[in-house]
Amino acid sequence: MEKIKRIYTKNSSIVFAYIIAAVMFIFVSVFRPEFATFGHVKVMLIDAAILGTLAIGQTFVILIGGIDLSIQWNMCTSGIMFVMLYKAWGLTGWQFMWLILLCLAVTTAVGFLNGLGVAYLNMHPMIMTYGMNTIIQGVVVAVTSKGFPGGFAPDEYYDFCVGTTLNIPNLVLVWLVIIAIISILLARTPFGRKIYAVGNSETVAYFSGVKVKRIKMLAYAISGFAGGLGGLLFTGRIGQAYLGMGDPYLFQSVAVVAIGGTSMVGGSGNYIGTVGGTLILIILNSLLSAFLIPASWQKVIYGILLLGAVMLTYSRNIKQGRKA
Amino acid sequence: MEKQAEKRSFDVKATLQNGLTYSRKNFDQVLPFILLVVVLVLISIVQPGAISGKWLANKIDGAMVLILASMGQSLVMLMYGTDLSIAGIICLTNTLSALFMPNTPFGVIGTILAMCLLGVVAGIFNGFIITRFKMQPFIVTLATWSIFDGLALYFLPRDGGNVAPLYSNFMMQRIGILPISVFILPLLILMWSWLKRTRFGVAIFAIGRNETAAHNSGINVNMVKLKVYAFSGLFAALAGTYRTAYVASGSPTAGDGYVLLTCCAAVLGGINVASGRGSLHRTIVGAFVLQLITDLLVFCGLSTYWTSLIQGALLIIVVATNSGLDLLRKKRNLEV
Repeated sequence: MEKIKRIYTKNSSIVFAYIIAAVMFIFVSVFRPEFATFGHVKVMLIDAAILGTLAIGQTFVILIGGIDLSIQWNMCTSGIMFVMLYKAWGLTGWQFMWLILLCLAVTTAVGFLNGLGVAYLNMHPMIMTYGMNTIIQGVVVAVTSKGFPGGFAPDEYYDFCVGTTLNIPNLVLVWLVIIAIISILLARTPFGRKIYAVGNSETVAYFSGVKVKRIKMLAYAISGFAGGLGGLLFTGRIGQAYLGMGDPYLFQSVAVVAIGGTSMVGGSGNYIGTVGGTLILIILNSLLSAFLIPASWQKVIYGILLLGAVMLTYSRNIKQGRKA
Repeated sequence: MEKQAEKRSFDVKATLQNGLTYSRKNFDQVLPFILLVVVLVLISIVQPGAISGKWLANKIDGAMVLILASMGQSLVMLMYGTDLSIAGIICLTNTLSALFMPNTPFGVIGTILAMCLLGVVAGIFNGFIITRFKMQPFIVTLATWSIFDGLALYFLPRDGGNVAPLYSNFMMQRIGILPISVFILPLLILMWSWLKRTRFGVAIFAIGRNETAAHNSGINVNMVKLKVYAFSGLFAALAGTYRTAYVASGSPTAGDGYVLLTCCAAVLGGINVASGRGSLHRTIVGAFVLQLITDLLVFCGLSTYWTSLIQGALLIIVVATNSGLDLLRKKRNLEV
């Protein structure tokens, strides 16, 4: 009992996120009964899987006290590259597996470059990643300007992504595996410990023998990888890739990390919280469209939500700091 | 005494040498002027005869939105902050002034003042949350960017609006060959010359160098930050209102590109985020250079797709060189 209580006080913001998600879900279901049907929940979970995957990278980067604004076009790059190269190289069947690896390698490389700039050249993370975002945007748009921008995903891949196993969507299964891996990585491995150490205080981490710059660079590389993976999942889900497909996801990926109780200055929070934040945002998304709220107010609501989440995390941290 | 004598006789060699030493030590501060000359030379090579008084006047008109917006961004960046909500404020003021400006002299002036007030309030809102809750500027301004963008979209779902002809005609008229915007430039230059000598200006630099030290030496850090974000909002509002006259229409997505552009202009102008150095005068040059680079690319026949690529690359290269040089300098200082 004592242990449970301790875990609760330590992760109260995360528990809070899940409670809000549940309350919102029940609230909407009362007014719109079709909201709670199995089919709709399945759709929402698939959306959550994509957003959650993208938010992995943002979680790592924010945990070390940075931010990655290149996620949107990283996502687009991998999606567009996947469908265009598949067609251009005339691949068939399951050969797309190699292409997936190639796409992920490219986006990871972009993440590495971000990390190099931020960690080794001491650049402001926002400037570095936003500049990088613009560069890859320029490259992708210029490369695709000759032909039809985008294309369709291979049939086998599309079938896998929309398919279900034991009535559970495959993408959700993939996400569950990812959640397990990331949680273990953050909580139980030296690498995860070092991420928290760097986020809490770079100086202390440095004097404790952590290679601060390398850890920072790796966090950005993971963010690039996650951006690419999210793009591929998105491409599989809707069966095609198009320019600008990542644009809404920049804001959402930051918001879910903040809602999940991760401190924006780094050092506290975890991926389970981000998952809770993702569920909240996805439910909110379908809530807003269920009640036919126009796009303008959606934007305003998202902004207020992000502000509120960050402020809540702040005040809770202050309270805990006083207790300790 | 000797120095004065030298100055009077104007020793060319010594002046040149002084200049060289200065530029080597302050490469980031000289860079905007070098770039300006290089770009102008390149333009006159690619398109001989393109550069004329009229052309330059048009360019200043075109660059004015960016110049105004970058002034605010530079002030914020001098304090090791960033203001993403500039984009949202430009959208909001652009749409509002395009929609609701009456076509009378007092109406025009009143609307401009109202827009400025709106910008200041928006900036104070940013600054209040950042200082009161001690939060990262980029996360707060990312959220308010979304809020302002949403409001702009609510007022004007798609490009359009009916701009008061009186206003846009007045702003776009030529006095001789000089556009109105040319008269705004000296105002901006004077403002910064005055501002950097005030307590407030000095406090901005102090906070940019070392926030704790500034606090310990008795500067009200939170108040200064609040004021700087208010200034940033004011300049963004001016930029948005100016855009209404320049484009003669409102757009709810007009500002979104300006996050990158203002950062790029500030950095090109030698605002060094890491060391807190820079000057708003050079930001003006930086913004102008950025505008000219876009034209240069068009003259070269490159499609507009490449513009964003080049802008992004320029931003990263300049920041990387500046912070790389800073690191080297620090290393050398430690070794000596």
